[in-house]
Amino acid sequence: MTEESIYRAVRVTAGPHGWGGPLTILPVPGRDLIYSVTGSGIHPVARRIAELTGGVPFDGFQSKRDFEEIAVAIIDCGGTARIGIYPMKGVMTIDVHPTQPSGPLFRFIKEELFVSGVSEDDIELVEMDESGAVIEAVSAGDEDETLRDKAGHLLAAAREMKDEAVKKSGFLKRIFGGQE
Amino acid sequence: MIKFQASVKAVGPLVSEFLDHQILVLFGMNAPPELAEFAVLHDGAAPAAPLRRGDRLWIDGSEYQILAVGEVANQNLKTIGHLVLKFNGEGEAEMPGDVCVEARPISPIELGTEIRIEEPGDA
Repeated sequence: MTEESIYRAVRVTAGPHGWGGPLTILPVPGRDLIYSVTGSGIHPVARRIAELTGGVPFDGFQSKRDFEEIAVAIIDCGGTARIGIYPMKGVMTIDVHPTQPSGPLFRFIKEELFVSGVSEDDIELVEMDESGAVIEAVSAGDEDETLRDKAGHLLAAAREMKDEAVKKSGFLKRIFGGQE
Repeated sequence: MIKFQASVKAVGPLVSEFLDHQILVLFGMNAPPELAEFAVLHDGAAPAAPLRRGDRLWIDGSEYQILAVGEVANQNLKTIGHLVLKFNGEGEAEMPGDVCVEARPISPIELGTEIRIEEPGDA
């Protein structure tokens, strides 16, 4: 019933030679831009995240929007400039190149805000509970016996993850929840 | 041959902080404001040919030899007018977006400063 239900969360993990993360991206009303700041329009990674989450793909080089509207920034930074600016602003950032924290703004690049080396294969749907904790990974279309067999194991793992995530929920609320 | 030629149209408030690290960041005019903060915006068109080691960078009257060109540097310059110049004297690009030039003092960057990259004459 709530507006939030139109959005879904994805977990984004670092690709080979990448760094940081994993990040959980959940657009919310008013903060639902999947903000592509890349050289070629909407990057495929941004497009994939938008498709899965219901967020709005947006090309940062085409027009201007406020930071507060950005759910996640996708960059193709070579390691110096864009890599630091979005984490500095508290915006979750995905670099499609496998960069490490570097550049004059490197001190802002933390694994809670930044993940690199990401391709479309490093994005998966996850379920979140009301506190914003990730409770279960969702397989994209693979709903067979094997998956059901995994369910019990997943549930146990989910309890552990939830404990961990509750610790982070203050942080998540700050990112997703707006003006608190 | 002149590969790239541009005039500085805006200088972001954090440019000097990057210059303290011997880094000058360029973007084209349509860069979003958060990138314009630490960058110089310029009116240059896509380069006539890919930049290569041995090319010469000119900032107004100061010349710097280009020592290394990172693997994504040319793509960045072509698509979004983005260039990361590092005045570090390194012969290898540490980051894929880097263009490394001679480690010499950086000529003052102001509105109207001319930035040019040339391939030395093939005479």
